[in-house]
Amino acid sequence: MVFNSLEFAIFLPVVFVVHWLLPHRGRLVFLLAASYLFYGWWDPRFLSLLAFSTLVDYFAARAIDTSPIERRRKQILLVSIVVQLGILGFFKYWGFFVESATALLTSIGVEANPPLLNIILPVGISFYTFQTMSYTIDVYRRRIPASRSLLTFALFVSYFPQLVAGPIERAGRLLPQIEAHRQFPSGERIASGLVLIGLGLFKKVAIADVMAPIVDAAFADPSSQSSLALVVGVFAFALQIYGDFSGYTDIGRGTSRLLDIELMRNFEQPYLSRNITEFWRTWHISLSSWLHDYLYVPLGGNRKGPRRTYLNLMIVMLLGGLWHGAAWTFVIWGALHGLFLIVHRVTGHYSPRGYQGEFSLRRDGLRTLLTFNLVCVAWVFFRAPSVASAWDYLTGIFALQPGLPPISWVLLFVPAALLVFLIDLAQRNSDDHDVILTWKPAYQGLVYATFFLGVLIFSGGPMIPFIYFQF
Amino acid sequence: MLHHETTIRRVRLAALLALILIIAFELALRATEDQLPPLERWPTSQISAKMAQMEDLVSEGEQIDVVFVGSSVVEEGMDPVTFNSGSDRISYNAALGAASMRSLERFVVDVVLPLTNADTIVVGVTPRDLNDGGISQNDFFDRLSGSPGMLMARTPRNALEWVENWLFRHVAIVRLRPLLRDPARLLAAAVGTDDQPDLDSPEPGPFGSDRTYDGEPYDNSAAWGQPWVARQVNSFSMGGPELEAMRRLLSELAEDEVNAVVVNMPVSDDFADYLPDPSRDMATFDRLLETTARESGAIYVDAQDLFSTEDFRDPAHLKPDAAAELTALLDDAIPPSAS
Repeated sequence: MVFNSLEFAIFLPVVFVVHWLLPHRGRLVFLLAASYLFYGWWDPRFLSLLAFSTLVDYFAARAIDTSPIERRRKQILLVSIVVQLGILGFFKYWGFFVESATALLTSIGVEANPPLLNIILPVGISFYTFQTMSYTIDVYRRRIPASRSLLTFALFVSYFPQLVAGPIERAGRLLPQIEAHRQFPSGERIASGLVLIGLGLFKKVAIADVMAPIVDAAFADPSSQSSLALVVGVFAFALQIYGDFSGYTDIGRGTSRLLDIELMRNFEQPYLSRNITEFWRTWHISLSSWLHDYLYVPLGGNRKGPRRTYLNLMIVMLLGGLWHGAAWTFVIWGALHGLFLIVHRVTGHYSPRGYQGEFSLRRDGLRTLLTFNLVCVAWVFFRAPSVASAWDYLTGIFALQPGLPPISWVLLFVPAALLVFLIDLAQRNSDDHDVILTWKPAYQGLVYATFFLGVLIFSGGPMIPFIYFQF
Repeated sequence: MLHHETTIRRVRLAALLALILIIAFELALRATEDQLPPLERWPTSQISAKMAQMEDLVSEGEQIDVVFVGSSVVEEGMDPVTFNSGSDRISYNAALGAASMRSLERFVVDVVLPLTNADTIVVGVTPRDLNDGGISQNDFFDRLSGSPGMLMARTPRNALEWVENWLFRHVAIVRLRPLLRDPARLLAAAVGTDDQPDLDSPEPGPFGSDRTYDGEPYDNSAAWGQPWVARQVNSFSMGGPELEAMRRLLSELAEDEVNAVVVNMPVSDDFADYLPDPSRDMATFDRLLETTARESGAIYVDAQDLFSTEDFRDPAHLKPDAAAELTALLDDAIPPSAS
């Protein structure tokens, strides 16, 4: 089931009403059933995989928690990680590795015909695998106790507002909220949840899906486009992927708020970042913090000197790229970001403080523009169907092919970019994702009318799936 | 507490104001609807052209007896001119490029039959038309279902469709959505340069099909095959909604006492190779198609292996000579009583 569908428009009110009519334990059982229904709507065959992942890590964490022997704890953790990554690797990377190995063998004159299988990628598998892995690792590190209840743990893994495309929640944050005796949310909280859902739908339907045809046309045949059209095409993709992914997160967070469970922020206005490090602190925060905590830090982080730090950054970004998909385009995308991060450190502009304070166009404009353009160069590899195609796209931009982008692109892109900028600016300068609720009724009313009309006008066409479903 | 009440009061006021703004927008649209560019009824120029031709034929008093339907494989594989010249019956090729069975079912039942009153529908089918996972097929279905022409023509089958039809008829924001999504066209109309340059396929011949052939050699290149596989095959699976739509179509035709002819369309060996498991998938397709056709009482024609590679211009589409040959065979396959 997807958030921008009629099925979900019926599903959500039913879940909301029934959930709050039930007692505490009934709510958990009902939410688990609703989450499995939500996931199974796509393909019920993969419910067993979700259940299997849940059972493996539930029992593994229990065994880790109760075992007094350090070596045994480590062995169980390893088994859990191997099983989870094995499932992920089989479904997500089998084809990639087989094709790459075959190409390599063929290039050295060895004939190879390994089975390709036609494996369907279970939606959301990368997200829930990382979520359950972080749980067992945290139990192993004794940061959290193992969950005693299979019911609450199963709901932690499958909780529908964040199951398919994150945020990748930590057990330390989400499990206590699930276990708590939650209260029916206040009117203000319900309003803030609904506004988040409205904002998310607007970003998905009226921003991301509107940019999709421009992006498809630009990337379909870069050689037939002018350089300016290619620039608009990749900028449009930057808006599309941001609107699509952050829109999904907003709908998920708003939905969860109606159930009195607060999900983490996954985006903090990333395109207002003043450098690439800041970008990675504000883009897909739940993944970048996961990679930081469970990969970068165990590799030594920045504690083993500059060279090792650079190597660690590159390893993390390469694996981060590969997490998105089994393709060389994602590997190069990760490598580019690794390179940008290293250069940022080498040039001495790195600050460990994270993003700070209000955005000022005069003070931050130039640096933000530079960062945005670097991110867009990497987006070309992320979006292009092949490395060769990405290269054609970039050379098309720098070849300065004459011509203007189609007027229809400009008329759709400019208002979308302006709207995204204004929404992000308001949120950044108030440090509040719910800033709209603090505005005067006249401004709020204008925003709500814009959301409603935007969604109404731009919905009803072909259903464009959320981009991050494929990851 | 005071802060909470203030927030709620503001939200209520804002919601009221938003409602007023939305109503004002609706009224303004209604007031200016006559001055806006005309609404495109159909999602492609090919459908618009074919609809106009069928409407013209009917208004001129021509009785269209036989209608060919299917995707571009039928568009290029069945030749109404050949059929009409060798028969006293008039045929029309109402095939729609990119359509699959879900789109065809609605198009035939809600649009073609009420308009033409044809007594025979010939449905040409390939595995791609029964594929539930095709991106192109699903996109086309969404575009056709949401088009003004379809929303005006269709009989609602469930509460959602009833609501959609009602909204389309009574709410200008919904009715004019295709225009509002296209600011370039609105701008062009405002400055007087709206020339509706919507020519995404060639103008069809007089009976709905264009039989031009440029003499290019058979094209089974990767440049042809890769996008085709990516969009038309994608996550290939049969037996779901597309097959259901076919069953529905045949049963509706039977109920309306319209003769149905199901043709297992010719495809090249390369076409089969695009499927995930060529021999298994083709065998499954043959079985599903024949069983579905026979169960509904339709005439089943298996033309899959009638042609060799040189009769195709690409893995899916026949050359005009082969199309004429197939059409002549079909003329023989449709018994006189059926038309």
